Amino acid sequence: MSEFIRALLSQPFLQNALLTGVLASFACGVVGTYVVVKKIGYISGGIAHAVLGGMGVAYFMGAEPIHGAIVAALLAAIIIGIVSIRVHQHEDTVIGAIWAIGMAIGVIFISRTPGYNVDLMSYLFGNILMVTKSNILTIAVLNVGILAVVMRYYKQFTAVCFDEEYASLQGVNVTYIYILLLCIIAITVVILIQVVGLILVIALLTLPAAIAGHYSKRLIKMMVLASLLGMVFTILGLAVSYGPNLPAGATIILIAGFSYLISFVIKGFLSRRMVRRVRAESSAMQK
Amino acid sequence: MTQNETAVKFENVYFSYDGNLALEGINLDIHKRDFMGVIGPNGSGKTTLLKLILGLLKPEGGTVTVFGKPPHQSRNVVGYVPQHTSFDMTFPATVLDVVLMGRLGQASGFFKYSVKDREVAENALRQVGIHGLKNRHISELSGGQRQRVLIARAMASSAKLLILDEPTASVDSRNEEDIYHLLKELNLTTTIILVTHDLGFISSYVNRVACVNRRLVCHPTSEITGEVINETYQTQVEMIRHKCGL
Repeated sequence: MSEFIRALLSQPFLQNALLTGVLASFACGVVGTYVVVKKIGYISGGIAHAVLGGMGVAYFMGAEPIHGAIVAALLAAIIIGIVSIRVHQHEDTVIGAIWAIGMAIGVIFISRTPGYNVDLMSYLFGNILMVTKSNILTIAVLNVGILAVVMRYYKQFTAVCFDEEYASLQGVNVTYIYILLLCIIAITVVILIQVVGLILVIALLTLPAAIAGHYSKRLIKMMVLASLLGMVFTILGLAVSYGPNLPAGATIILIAGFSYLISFVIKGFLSRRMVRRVRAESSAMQK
Repeated sequence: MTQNETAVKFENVYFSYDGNLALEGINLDIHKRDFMGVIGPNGSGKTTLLKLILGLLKPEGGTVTVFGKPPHQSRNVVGYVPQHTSFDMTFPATVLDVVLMGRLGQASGFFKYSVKDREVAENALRQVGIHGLKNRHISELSGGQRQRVLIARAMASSAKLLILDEPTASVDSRNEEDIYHLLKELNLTTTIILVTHDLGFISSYVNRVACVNRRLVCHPTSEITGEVINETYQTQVEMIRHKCGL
């Protein structure tokens, strides 16, 4: 651990990695909370995997993969959003198809790219230690954009997640808000892919929020707690993986995953106690 | 005659799901300050009737008007109370958070609800008698309390018409009576439409009954008063049954 701190002070690549992790946790906590309460992890997975198509095309054309990722993520979000509203019955089939088509396009374009062959693994599993200064700037801008949109539409997003039917009765354009939410998720996915890669991205998006959900009575608390947890997991993951030279993304996810399982057990224990307390209260009232 | 102004009007309304006729030739007048009970067996089209009033469904034939306007234009004065079992109990929201969502149609601005929105929401909670529970999480409530939260949410949007879909399903009988009593009080200023499939309680609270079974068989202009049903409950029910052919 002290080795990690010494390296952090002297190595710019490690400072970049840490900054990326911290920046990513804000979007991760806020948007991940919506993914968890709306139960759209599968939809988010579809968007995340379709992103490889955009990365592959951008790479083939000599552009920045992250720019291709943004375009592909937004496109996938809009298509999936429209499909899930219009044709509810076949939603999962369509999401599965977009998921696979995106990846197939990515693999084909990467294989057709002449010259030095990029390491496909770093797209799939991330390489936070390779993040550049310009990538960090992009991530920061995207982060500010996400937080601004969430601030503006907080009430609408929340109402649509809790009760779509009632939100529409209140005059909220549910289709528009839902697709906007998916676009925000898409941008968040692009940010998080820089940290853990697209295979593991859904875990980083949902696990901190799911743990926070165990201890939060209100949505806003869940978002704050999820952001803090995201930050702890990425920093801890970086620190733990540095010494033995483990893949950082996978280490971050393992830490998050074990924390979730432990929290799940603790939560089950606490809620059994609460049920007993409520029963005791109500039987005392009846006497 | 302000008393008899029309709140909801159905004129020869038809509706079907995938070619199966759900409602057929419905004519109905609901007056302001009515307390209308809508009864009928499962799958008889009661919920469809509500959704037409809310503008969630559009009639295939005929017209529905709510306070003289098409339903989707009068949504801001209609409060809807769905069955309380229909929402996600694990959602991180307190009682007050849920009631505040009833202000969404009126609310403006960024992020938080205004002080005025909070006042309206807290008043609605006082009216339904659960203001003391405002900071509880929605999973820490009994069925009856949950139903009150949803009634408060509907009232928070300054509703002139409250529409309730089986508000007492899965609520015990003592709470059921309390909720009907509360609705009776609200009825002093608000028009109420209540869907139920148990005739038992509503008879003493409602002033009109509509029986739905694809057609609106017992036309409410027959004006069966609550007292009449109550006094001669057995025979009256038999009579309604007979007339409706339910």
